[in-house]
Amino acid sequence: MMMEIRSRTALASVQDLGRFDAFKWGVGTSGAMDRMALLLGNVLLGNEEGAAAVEMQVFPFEILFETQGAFALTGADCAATLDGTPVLPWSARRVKAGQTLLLGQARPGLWRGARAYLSVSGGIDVPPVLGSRSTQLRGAIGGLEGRALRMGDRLSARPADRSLPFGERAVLPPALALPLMADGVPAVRVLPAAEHDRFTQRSLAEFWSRPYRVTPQSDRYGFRLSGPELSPKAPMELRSHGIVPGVVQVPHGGQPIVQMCEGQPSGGYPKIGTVIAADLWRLGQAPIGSHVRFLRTDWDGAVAALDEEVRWLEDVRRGLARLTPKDRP
Amino acid sequence: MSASPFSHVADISRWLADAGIERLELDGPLGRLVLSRAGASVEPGPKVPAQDVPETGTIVRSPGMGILRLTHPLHDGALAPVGTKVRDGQALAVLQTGAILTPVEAPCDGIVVAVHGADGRVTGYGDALFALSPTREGPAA
Repeated sequence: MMMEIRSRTALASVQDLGRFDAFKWGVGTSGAMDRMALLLGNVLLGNEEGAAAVEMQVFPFEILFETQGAFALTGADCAATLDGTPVLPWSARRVKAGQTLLLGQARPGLWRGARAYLSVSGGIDVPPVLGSRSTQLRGAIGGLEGRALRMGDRLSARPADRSLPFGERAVLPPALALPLMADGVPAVRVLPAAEHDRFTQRSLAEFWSRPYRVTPQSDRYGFRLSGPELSPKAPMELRSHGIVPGVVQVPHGGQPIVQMCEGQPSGGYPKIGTVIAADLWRLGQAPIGSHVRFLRTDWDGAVAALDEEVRWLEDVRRGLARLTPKDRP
Repeated sequence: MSASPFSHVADISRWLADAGIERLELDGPLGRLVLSRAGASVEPGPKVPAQDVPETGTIVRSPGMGILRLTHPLHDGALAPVGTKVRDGQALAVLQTGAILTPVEAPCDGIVVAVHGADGRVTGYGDALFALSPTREGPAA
């Protein structure tokens, strides 16, 4: 299947689940900011779960399908239409040659995301680099020529065994199926990090109980948050050391920065906490201007959160399989 | 008559009790057979349609079983209230089974003239959900 980007896009790129075997060489993970949206798009299409998709961050966005096939659209609900006909959020459907998919602004509603994902049967066909098809902009590797997508770019899909093995279905968004809120504000679970106890009691009390706003200086590299100032008991000077996505650093000024999937693999700011891997997608979908709460958890809680997501994805797979007659052509 | 399920009601009721099933409804040529484990009660009779639906326009029927959602869980308003112009294949509602939402699709271009399905209720295969007044639309602009 072949498709063409028809928008003067910004910040759209090919992503899969990320690049994990090269972190030891200082190559960051990249990958989808909302890994659940990517996974579910692939589950709906019957793809391997790590098949590459298009991540879109700025709207409107338009794609022309040159040939027929099947796609899934997950993530932020952008009131998408296919040749003018509304497409259900978090759904998979077939597409005919010549049809145009148009995504508008992310709709406000029970849950408003910031990023949308277009998966296709078989996954986007670009060469893997260091084990992943994700685009890393900093190093200009992976994805389509190591760069953001541009108007006129044509993407093809890898061959798929079967098109839409589960038919045209949609799935409940994980934000609704696995809700996590604190006092009416979307929340993420956080492990205390190495320098947590070196912050003042008052700062810690604020960090764990007050909402922080996602400022406009927030992107795939990191989210700059604004809220109650976090102060160390005494000034800290740390040597640069390895950090991972989810790490919450506190530079001078006391406003926290959360490393996201394109974040630098090393840094020297004090670390107050780490957003757990299971919840990075929740933060990744927090729109600019929205608020987030940090909920303290521990190792067991972090592992249990991952297990819960794995179990829910299994439920979805089983549900799709059960609805599909075995003798479907 | 030897094939009549009525002669096996006692056995079936016992199997239901063993399986922990509260109630079994079986639609067939003999009518609607209702068995409950509380007792071997049988209600044969002609099949009673779930709703009295006037046959105006094209009836859109449920493609399966599930909880009918006229509004997508992310939305405020219904997907296809009366008066909505819809295209062939457009989702008018979804049937929810667990985490899966199966679209109820318009079989043709048209305008929704009636909503028969009850929001939030368990819907069976074939239940009448919408009535559409078909239109002949040109290609989308």
